Amino acid sequence: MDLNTVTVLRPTADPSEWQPGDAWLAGGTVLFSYDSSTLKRLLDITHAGWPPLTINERGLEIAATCTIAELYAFTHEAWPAVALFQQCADSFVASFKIWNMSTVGGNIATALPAGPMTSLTAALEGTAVVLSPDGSERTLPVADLVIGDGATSLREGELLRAIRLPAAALQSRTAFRRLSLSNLGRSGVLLIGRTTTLGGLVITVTASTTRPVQLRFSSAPTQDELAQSLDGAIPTDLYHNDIHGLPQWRRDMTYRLAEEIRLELRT
Amino acid sequence: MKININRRPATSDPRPGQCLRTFLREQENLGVKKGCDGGDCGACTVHVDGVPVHSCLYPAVRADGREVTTIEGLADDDGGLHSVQEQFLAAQGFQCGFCTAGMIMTAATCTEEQKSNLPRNLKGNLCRCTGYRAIEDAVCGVSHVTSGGHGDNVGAPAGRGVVTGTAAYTLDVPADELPGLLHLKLLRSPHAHARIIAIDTASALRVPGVQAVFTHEDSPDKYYSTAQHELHTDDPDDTRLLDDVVRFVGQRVAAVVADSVAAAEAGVRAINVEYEVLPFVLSPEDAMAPGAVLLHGDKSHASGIAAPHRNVVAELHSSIGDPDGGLVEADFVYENTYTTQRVQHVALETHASIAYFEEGRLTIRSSTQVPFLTKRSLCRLFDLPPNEVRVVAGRVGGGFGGKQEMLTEDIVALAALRVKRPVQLELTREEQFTSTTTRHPFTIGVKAGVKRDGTITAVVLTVLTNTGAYGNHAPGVMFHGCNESISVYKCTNKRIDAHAVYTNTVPAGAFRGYGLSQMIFAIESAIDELAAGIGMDPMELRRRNIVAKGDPMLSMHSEPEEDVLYGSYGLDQCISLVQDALDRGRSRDIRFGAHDLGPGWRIGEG
Repeated sequence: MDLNTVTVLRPTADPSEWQPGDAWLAGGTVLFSYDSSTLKRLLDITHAGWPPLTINERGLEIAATCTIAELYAFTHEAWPAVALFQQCADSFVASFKIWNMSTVGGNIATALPAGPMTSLTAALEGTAVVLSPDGSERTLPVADLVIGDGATSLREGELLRAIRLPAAALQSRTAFRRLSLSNLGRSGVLLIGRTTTLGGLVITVTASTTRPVQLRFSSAPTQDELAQSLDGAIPTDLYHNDIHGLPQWRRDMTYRLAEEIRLELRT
Repeated sequence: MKININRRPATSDPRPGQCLRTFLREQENLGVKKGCDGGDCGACTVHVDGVPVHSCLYPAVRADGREVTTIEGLADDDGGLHSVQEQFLAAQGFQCGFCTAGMIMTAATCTEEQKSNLPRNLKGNLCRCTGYRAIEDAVCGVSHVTSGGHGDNVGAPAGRGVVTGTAAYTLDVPADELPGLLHLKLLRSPHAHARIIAIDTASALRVPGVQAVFTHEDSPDKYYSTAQHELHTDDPDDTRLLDDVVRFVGQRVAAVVADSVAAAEAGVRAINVEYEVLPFVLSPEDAMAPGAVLLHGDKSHASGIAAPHRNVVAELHSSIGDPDGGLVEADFVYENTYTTQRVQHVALETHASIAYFEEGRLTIRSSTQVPFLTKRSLCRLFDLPPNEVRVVAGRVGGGFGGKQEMLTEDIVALAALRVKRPVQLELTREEQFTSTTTRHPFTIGVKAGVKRDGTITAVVLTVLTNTGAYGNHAPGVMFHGCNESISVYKCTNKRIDAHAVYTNTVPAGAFRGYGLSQMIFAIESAIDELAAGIGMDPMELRRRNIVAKGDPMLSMHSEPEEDVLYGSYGLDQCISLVQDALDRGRSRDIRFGAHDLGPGWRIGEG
């Protein structure tokens, strides 16, 4: 919809230009879906010319402005975990048409519990590269960037530049599980498991919890060990409560899907 | 800036915060529709450099240097149709047609692989009329239209306009036909119940572009109902155009008229209101409790409100036969309370109207199901003779009962009569939910008895309907819901106690079924329980108790209504069709081994 209080649309990706009343504009699919009476300027980062997907010796760098459609089309034979790209894109409740505009960075920064780009990049040990208004750059795990329902640890004026996925995670075997209350609906539970090179297991819980939760096992856990680990990692009030699923259902399905992942990746 | 629209350059530049949808409409591409304005419904789908996008989310400035294609430019310039447009005509893949442009623009980009999974690939396109079967046929190239002889499937006359985006809905009026058009936005109450002590409009009037601000001081001193019926006395006169008491969150407080929507919005933000916040009630039970705050306690019986001092807008107490005796006589008695929730119509076209003057006569173009009744109501409200008001509807983008109301026409009429210029009001999708009408939530107590031979011996109903802050359609929905739902059963021992009750919530109104869907849910659930209680097939129990052709249909009175006659009869066939469908479902479950999923599963059917 029209953002009628906006008087300036400025192409820039320089955080030193940021001032109160500004919003970083990437795909625009979130900003333009809500009314605003406070926004004054949109700082359009899509003119920065960041290559959407860059393969380097450390792994894959996904620009914040990489669209979901670009991510969906990416393939890489040596990285089996790339299969998750399509599985996570398919988890969007939005139409494929939205994928032509929506960006990976925008989905993570929106920080919805069901944000599938948060699920994907957290599960693959993604590191967020963040540019600050003072000209500095910092990095932090995606799992620590999204800290609650609609809440991130980004500070005022900071800009999410990219997500780096390490090659080791991209080479791992993965298992994907997702449930929603309606067919093709918004995720109520989304779990991703991956094996580690030393025979361990990492399970990343999203959608059912208000922020990503990761369970790390140095060797394959037993059913009881997995359940106990979930008990310890997710207090009751961390399960998300909204129209897309009751906390009790999300909790039960988290245990169920985690166990399915454990069994799938056991051998 | 250089934006091409349908192979021609745009004639102006978009504003910084403008989305492509409104820019395209300003450029006279009126086939681009607003459904949700939030990226979910797909009615605004266009192509940018051949890629389908939702134009309500697309920053218009970003179209610089690109080629935008709308429904108007999908086909070649030779006057023919695109193949997908032909397919939508051949399958008649539309009802109201408001979603059709978006459907076609999306389907036109679908690969064969995408067409093989339409639930996924069309999930970004909502059809509220639920014509998905016909839409699927259209996308997949199935044809239904035949023409020529008697009994053929003849296509809708408006079909070509719908598939080309040229059918004119309410706001699809070229700008040059409405010179000097102003836009109206409403300040709405943040309180469930409050008295307006003061409104300061001075700051709003200083906002550049604002032409006028209207408050309760400008409102005609008259009460009316937003509901529209042939007899205006069917509904209580409990509503003022702008009132000094607000009774639900979202009620109109003031109207700002300005040169642009943006200026009107700024004007709304600049109004200062001092409220005296009043106690409120949210449930019918609380509203009927002794000592509850009264919503319309200041009104008399002359308003048509049954009991203003009890928050009751309408009530019904009837008994025929011997209900208590019937319950005693029964071998099995079932009793339960059923509740139904509030739902909104979600017509894809939001409420909207334009007031203008045609040869000096006030004319309202509105998204309405009742133009003639609305004209009548405007004449009553503004003391105008019938020949000085005209209400017209273009093609309407869905109504479902929600547009059997006067929710925008009154305020644009007031504004146009005062500023003597055309005035347009288009509700947002959010306003549709907070400030129009809904289906009435019902609480339905059912007590019913049955003999072992399957004879229903008594039906006793206790019904509370939540009409919200105003009583539009409250009496009619209550009476019809209670009447028709039980008059199809022969049992002659029936008692009804029903109240339609005011609460400080968004008003309920007319909604497909008019009270029947709520009541039938309760009655038919109870019928199933009666059948279970005596070990009889629920369809057999219905067969034994439904009225046969010619039987009197009784609910509140021992004599049938004079004006209710049997035109045709198919109730027995309906029951057989349902039974057949359930049987097919059961045999399919058995075939797939899904009839017994283990002790953890309970299966319901209906």
